[in-house]
Amino acid sequence: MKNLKLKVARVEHDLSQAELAEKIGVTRQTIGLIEQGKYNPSLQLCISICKTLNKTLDELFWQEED
Amino acid sequence: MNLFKNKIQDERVVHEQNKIYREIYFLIYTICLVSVVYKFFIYGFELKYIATEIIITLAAGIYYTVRASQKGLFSAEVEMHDNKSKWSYQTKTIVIGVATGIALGLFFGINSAVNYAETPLERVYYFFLTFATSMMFYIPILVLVLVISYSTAKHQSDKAVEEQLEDDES
Repeated sequence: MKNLKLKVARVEHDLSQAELAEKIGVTRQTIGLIEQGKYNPSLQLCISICKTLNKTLDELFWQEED
Repeated sequence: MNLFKNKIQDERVVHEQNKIYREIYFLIYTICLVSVVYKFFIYGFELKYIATEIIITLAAGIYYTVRASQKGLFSAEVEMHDNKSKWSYQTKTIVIGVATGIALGLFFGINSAVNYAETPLERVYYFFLTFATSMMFYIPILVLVLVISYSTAKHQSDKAVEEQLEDDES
């Protein structure tokens, strides 16, 4: 399942995938795969992303059941 | 009872297992290196005695490079390296090729001077002759092989990354 919340938060901060990746210390590929829902990040990485984008874990990573 | 009911793997266990596999990889490399050094002192510099160790080392390296390229990990490694380091990955690859060529030249030069020369003047002459010839031979070959391998792996890896991210418009 795609993580649109992350993508929206990133765009709100006017950051490209590469810029967000560099701020966190990972690769653009990793951010791209998380946004596409093809890679499950560790809790530590989720927290780093949340801190960089000033969001909570819920706001970025909680998926509502259909 | 459904044996396939629980699809979730314990990430901690998998992560720890992978760490052990990584340690095993270094252990095998160390054993190969020790074996090569040991055989060098026992049998001298004969390629036939260390062929197995060379095959293990080369095969593991080639396998890793191919798989990392297929999964796009090589591009990620280069990106991470270039973000942190003053020297680009490509520059380092060339420097490693030149340094290995010089090291091989030194090794063959010393080997030639010690084993084949009889007078001190001959030693100096043999050393510089073999050193220069080895460098002229090995440096271009090593640099060429490493640069071609790097470019091929990077190209394939970049392609893999693009395929993975292709339905994502960033």
